[in-house]
Amino acid sequence: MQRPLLQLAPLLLLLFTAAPITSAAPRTPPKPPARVMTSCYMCHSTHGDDPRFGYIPRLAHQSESYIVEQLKAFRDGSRSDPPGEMYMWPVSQALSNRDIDLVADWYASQPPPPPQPAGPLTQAGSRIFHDGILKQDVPACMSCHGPEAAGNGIFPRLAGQNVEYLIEQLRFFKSGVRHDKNADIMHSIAIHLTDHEMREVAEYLTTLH
Amino acid sequence: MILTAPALALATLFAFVTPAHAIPSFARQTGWSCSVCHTIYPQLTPIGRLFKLEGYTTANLAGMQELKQKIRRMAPLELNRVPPLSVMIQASAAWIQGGDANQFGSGGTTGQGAVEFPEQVSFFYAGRVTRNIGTFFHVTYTHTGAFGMDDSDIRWAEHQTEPDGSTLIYGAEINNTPTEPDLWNSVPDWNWPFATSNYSPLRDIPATYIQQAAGASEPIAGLGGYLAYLFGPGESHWLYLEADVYRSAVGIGSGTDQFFGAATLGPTRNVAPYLRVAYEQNDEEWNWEVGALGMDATIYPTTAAIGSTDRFLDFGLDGQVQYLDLTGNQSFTAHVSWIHETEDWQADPAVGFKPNPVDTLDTASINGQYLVNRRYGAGLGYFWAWGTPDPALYGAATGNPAALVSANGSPDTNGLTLELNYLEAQNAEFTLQYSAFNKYLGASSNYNGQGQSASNNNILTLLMWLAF
Ligand code: HEC
Ligand code: HEC
Repeated sequence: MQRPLLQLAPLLLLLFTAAPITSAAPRTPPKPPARVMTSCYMCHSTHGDDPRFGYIPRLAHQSESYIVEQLKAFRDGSRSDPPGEMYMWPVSQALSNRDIDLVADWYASQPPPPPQPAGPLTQAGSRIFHDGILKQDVPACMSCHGPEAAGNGIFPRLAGQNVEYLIEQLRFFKSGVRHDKNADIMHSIAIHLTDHEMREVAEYLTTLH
Repeated sequence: MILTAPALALATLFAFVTPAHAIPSFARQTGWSCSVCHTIYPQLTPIGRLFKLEGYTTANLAGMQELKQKIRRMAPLELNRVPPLSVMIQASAAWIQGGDANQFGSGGTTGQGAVEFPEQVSFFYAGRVTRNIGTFFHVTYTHTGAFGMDDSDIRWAEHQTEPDGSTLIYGAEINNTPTEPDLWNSVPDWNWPFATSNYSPLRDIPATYIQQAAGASEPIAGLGGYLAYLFGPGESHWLYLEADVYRSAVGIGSGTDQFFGAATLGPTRNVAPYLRVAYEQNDEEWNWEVGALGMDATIYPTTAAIGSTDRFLDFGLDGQVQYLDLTGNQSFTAHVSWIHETEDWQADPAVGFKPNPVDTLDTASINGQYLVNRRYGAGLGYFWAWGTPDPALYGAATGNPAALVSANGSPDTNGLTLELNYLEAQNAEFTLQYSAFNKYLGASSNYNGQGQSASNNNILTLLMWLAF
């Protein structure tokens, strides 16, 4: 009966002696939570920096409370734009509140995604972002999303996001198919934007770090 | 042991069983609609490939029930609330330019085309069994009049992630068809056209061993393992390695199957190794793959596993390019494939079958499919087969004008296939398919020495596919 323990003794000793060494070593990034590796990574990638397709958003460095909010909105069905319904409804149903906190913490603490190269529309987009479009009642995006579009709290990070995802969401806000809790704010803005202006501002946002 | 022409035609008809499509029980388990993992069935998207790599275990909906364990340290038990069963039904109607007799031999004299309902009925048990084990288990009833194993696998998978995000997925599987465990549709078991009529002359084109084995048509069982290493930004570079060994599976067909024009084949001697390496790169809406595969099968010429053996050495290269529109409303996938086979007819010719000592056979195809709104689709492809002329394999004239044999003993065949698809829903598809032959078994006209021209084999097919 004693033998297994005896055999373990050297191992335990090793563990105890090793413990101070590992804690003194530089902090290695924590492992992703299990949920990320059994689901999210398939589409968003492990670090959320380079998702599988353009219509899948980058989650790296996204505002933590925004991620939590959105996952709950997918789960209770209040964020019901078509890709959200198709991809994220089933995923979010499998998540407990604790899972949501864990995955939100993981993605929010990842380094920001690499900025994308500037295109011909970047300049015009920058103007919309910083100044809005006065004659169309479009406020400066930076007033809520932050001067670097880094986001905060309920305001999502937009910097370095995929162009196609940004445009698609602006269209969803405009048409009203994305109507989760805080979507009204964006609806009142997006209705004043043309398709071309959406592309301009998206092509600017994707270049930000 | 040489088969008579009708028997041969019949035998080769059985050789190809249409590959499987999207599996509704996978959709029930993940909550994702078919189009998350497929463009048009069974064409996979990168997400579908990951799902397969992960052993079909990804689950979102609360379909699994964990039975409470009263005794600690006992192995856990999770069971599906609803068993992951699916049904697939296919029906077809086919019209052959040269008349029915062309395909049905003396039996096919109705001149009305071939209507098959069902062409196939398949039952799947497909889905997660434990945290690491999943199945794609597939039995099919065809016009042969019996249920039989169709391409299937059972796999165990696990993965490991490094701090930089690079991920190693590794698995072990058992399967019954070389290339069934594969992730791309440029390999024989999954290549386009995804469905054809049982009576299509496409199924009679000389084919290499690996192609003949598609759809579990050879009674073999394989044991294998795979590694997928996902690395680079967003883990968008994938390296895939797979190795299997195949051996005759007793129980189905007691180790026999037909080669085109060849003698009845017996079981494998020892094991037939199969190797596969492929690389995929993902870039937003584009992804592409290049790969190579090889198989070395040593086979007894008769069902008795005694005496000398024949050897089929296959080597293939393949590639795939896929474009998936950002909003998912359009997709395009193209495949190229080439397989070279060396057939070493070493077996004692006492069985009365005397091919050349060594033959080679090459097959190649290039094709592409376009799908819009997940509703309307079109596909176009060209196929080739060429190799050493060998009357023992491809037949000399028999005096039967309908015989599927070559007067000059050549396997050379090529032609094109064109297809239009309409998806009433993601699980209900209608296809109009036309295949035209430029060359059939060595010639464009009078290929069998009885006045048949290649175009007599042109076939128009209407196919229905339902899965639920
Ligand atoms: C099958 C692919 C897929 C998987 C797996 C997946 N997602 Fe998503 N996710 C998407 C798509 C597509 C969207 C965009 C939805 C939309 O347009 O409304 C999205 C959107 C999101 C958003 C909203 C982001 C924003 O900027 O508004 C969050 C947060 C999110 N996913 C988190 C997760 C987490 C956490 C997991 C794992 C538990 C996960 N996703 C798994 C495909 C997926
Ligand atoms: C008054 C504050 C405010 C202003 C000004 C504003 N936004 Fe927003 N934006 C929000 C809020 C709040 C959300 C989150 C909406 C939700 O939760 O559904 C959001 C969400 C978004 C999203 C969706 C991001 C994602 O990850 O899904 C995009 C894209 C966006 N805003 C773009 C813009 C652009 C472009 C402008 C300028 C033209 C702009 N916003 C101006 C408050 C604002």
